[in-house]
Amino acid sequence: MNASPQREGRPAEPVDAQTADLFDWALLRDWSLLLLSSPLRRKLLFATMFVTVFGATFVGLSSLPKSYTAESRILASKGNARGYLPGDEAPTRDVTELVLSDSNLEALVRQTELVETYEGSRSRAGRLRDWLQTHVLGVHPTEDDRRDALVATLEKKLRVSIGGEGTVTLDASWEDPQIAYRLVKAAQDNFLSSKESSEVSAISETMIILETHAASIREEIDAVLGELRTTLERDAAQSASSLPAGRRSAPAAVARKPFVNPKAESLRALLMAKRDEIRQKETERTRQLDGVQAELARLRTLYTEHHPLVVDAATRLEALRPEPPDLLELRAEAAQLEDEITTAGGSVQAAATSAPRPLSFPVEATAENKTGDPQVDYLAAQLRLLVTKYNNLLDRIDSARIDLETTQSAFKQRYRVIKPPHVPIRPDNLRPPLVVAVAFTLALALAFFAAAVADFSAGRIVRPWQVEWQLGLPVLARFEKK
Amino acid sequence: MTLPPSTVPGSFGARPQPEPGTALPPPQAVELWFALARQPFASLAIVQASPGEAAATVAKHLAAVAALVGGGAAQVLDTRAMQIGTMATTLRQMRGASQRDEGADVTRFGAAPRIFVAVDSLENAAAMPLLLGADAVLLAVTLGESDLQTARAIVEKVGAERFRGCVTFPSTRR
Repeated sequence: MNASPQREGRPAEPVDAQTADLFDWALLRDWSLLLLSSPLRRKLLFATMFVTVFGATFVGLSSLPKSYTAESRILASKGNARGYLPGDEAPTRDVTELVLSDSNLEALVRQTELVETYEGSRSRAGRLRDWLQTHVLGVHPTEDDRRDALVATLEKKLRVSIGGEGTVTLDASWEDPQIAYRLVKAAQDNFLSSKESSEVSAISETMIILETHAASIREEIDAVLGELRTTLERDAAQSASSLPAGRRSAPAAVARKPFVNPKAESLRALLMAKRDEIRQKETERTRQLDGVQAELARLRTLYTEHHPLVVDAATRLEALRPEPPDLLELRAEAAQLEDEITTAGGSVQAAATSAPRPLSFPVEATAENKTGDPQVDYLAAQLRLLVTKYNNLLDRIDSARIDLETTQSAFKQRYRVIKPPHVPIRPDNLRPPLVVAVAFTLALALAFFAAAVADFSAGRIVRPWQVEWQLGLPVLARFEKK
Repeated sequence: MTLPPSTVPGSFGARPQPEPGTALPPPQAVELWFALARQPFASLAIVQASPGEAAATVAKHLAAVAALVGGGAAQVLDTRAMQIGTMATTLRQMRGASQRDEGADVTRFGAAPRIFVAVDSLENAAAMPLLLGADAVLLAVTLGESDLQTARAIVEKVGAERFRGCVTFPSTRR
């Protein structure tokens, strides 16, 4: 027996002493050829495995949950030409906390009707899991459980990233493209609305405080006026006969001045604040409507009426047309305030037309021309002081109103939606061409592997070198088929 | 290897002709013959690692080559269906051939007849005595049919030192 058989009669090749110990290239080549030729010996197994794995890919593509991602990008500028505004130094501060706060996530679940639509948007695999949980594990979640679970899921699926240039990117991944779009759209609207409220609220609150103070001073003015009128009437009654006719006209003019009901004034201030809020909501709604209308018009120039994007934009437009519940509620509250003002004897018209008007009270004559009655002079001086304070407050209210309008206008310039969300068309986790290519490769590899394993486990000798390598016998002759 | 001219019958340079009616062996058989002839033997057992005709085919081809190049008669014994009780004669023949030709050069033309014994796998009880009784053993493997485990068992039981080598056959399956 030969001690060192030469594999398949190949001539001895010069061997590098260093590499010879590391790799037996000839053996490696022989094994590779054996592996690659195994499908020829296991044709049925190879074909079955390939078809099964490749077919399973298509089944998986239609059953496994897909993930669609919608994205919105907002540019938050630091300053603007109109001046400094609160939060200018860091317009993207607290964005993540704001968007991912529990209250906002719950609002998003409610706004997008996620609990109601979630079941219908589940993939087959997801539905199967739900079915197993219900029928096998006996888990029956309540609506609150589902809502909590969705809030928790949304916390993971909704992402906020802040770019270095002040860009805020909101994106959400969901199994259903429509839901992904609605989530991002609602998150974007909520964020803008919240930011606007937080920036405007300081000024609004200032206005309310000023108006309350003005109403209070107006109340004092009315009280002093009442007292002054009483004093003057008393004096007039005492010295009616001795006073000249011209002197009687001043108290008579004061007496003719209509009283202003303090309660009505207070309600009027509230009504005005309410109307400001209504005006803000209407402006925002108009902006949204204009935006969707412009988007719809743009899409109609690109696609047909039946294209999903056009249908989606039209649906959103129809959904925006009716007034939102919060606006209707505000209107109802305003109407109730108007009724209360009328009941209290105030004028709704005055509130509807403008802010409280500065007083042009005929006090100057009373104050500067001493009457000789110390009480009347004192009351007149007090009245003059109060009227001055009242008019100052009205000036400050006017100034605050201008600030409010400036802030609202500046906000639109400061937070601009540079990339509005769109309904995603392709899933981002399962891209069919890539999946098919990967599945083809995987199916081929697995089929090869199965054929090779079957070959090796059967222990058949399929190549002459196996005898030399595994039995140590030289192959002296290889007979061919006749 | 050079044959002595005195041992070659007929005129020097004359080509040996096969006997009429005898099929020429394939070139692999000639190659095998010369590979085996490097060491003397009188009896050669060819054992197959899987059921089939491999052992008998090799025995027939070698006998044909032996007749052509050795000039002597060669005997083929197909023992694949042999029972253990009937193998004594075969063993005697093998032993006799070995004793006659002990020390002889098998490549010498006109040497004593060789015995080629086709042996079934070890499942046949008669196989082992025949393999041990032969001067040398050759393993016949059918690719795709013979399995390593059986082949390894044969080599281990018979003794690796008794094997001259191996011949391979293509699969008979379609």
